[in-house]
Amino acid sequence: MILARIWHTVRGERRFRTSVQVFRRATRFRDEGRFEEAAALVARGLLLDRDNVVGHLLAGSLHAMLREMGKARTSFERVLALEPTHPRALLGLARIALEEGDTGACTDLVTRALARYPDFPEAQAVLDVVRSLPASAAPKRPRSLEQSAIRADRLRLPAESRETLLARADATVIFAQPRGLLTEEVAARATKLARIASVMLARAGLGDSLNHAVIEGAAETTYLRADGETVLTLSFSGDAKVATALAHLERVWVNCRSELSRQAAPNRVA
Amino acid sequence: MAQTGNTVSSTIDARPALGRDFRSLLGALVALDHITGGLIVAPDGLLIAAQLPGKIAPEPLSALAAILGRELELRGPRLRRGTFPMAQFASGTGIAFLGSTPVGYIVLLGDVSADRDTIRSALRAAVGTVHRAWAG
Repeated sequence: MILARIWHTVRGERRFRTSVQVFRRATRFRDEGRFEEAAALVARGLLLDRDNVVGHLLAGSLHAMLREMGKARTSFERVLALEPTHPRALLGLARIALEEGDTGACTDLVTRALARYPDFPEAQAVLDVVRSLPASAAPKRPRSLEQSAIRADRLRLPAESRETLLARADATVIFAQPRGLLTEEVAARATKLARIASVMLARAGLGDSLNHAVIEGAAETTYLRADGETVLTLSFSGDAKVATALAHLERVWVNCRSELSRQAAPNRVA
Repeated sequence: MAQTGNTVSSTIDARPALGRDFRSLLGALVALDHITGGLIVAPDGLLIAAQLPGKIAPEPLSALAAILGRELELRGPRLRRGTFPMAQFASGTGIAFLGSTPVGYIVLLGDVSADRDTIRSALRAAVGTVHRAWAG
């Protein structure tokens, strides 16, 4: 036995005698950003101890880090099967529900986590986000009055803009050019993005509402302007200069607000 | 020749170390003018590194940054999945930059005077460094 230990030491090998050691080392790897190595260790640890809560929780966390959300959900559900009020597993499932647009499930899960551990800042932050979102994630049907009332020529859209979308904070589409099958869903995404960003800015001590955003994509860049009531997005080629595009965004935003004000007072005498 | 070979080899070996040393990477970014803090957060919200002003709690911010990063990664405002290298979000009092990497998101917080071009350029370089370190 002693000789064997010396031999292992000489060879520089580490032998894990318990799953606890394996998961401890996996946690260290995960915290250092060594996700693949941590995942391999967790798989090994769960072979030693298949009902280990820490192991399944680590597995869920690592799957989420590796963007494997289906596997993450399975791991978090396994944790809850073993320990029904585990706050980290509840939070993990809440985040997955939020990603999937299931705000009801997210609220329920995060509320359960906070009921168990009221001092849980991450869970409170997720609850802040989900409370800021409309009750239903389903895209709103456009109102025919609004669709006919806003005209592209009044907004003076820049020729370089590929797509324009104006929506209310509840994701109701006010104006879209071009308009397609996905327009309502895009509006829901844009408004959700604006709300999440506003909550994050508030938590970062940078005020409580998003003014504008620039989101770079592979082929185009989306410029977003928002206040508490309305969201406007314009998309430009990735080659467009940021300052120019922001100037366009601001001009169209002012025109949009002007048009919406005009609509709000339709009976005014000319 | 052998010496040149060693130098090249050392340089190549050094690249992954830089992109995996998150604290150093973040430290360099936070040193930029008008940047008040920053963090690196995994896609599940795990805080990997943070340098924030004392009044800002890192845990909720990391949770929110991960939610925002995932939302952009999954759909973006135009529903084009997986095409989000970088984004910036401005309020009346400051700005947050978000860069996407294989290990998660780099977040930088700046005041209104922050030179956005300079910060975008530095963040783009940092994102590239992490990508290179984690490729393959």
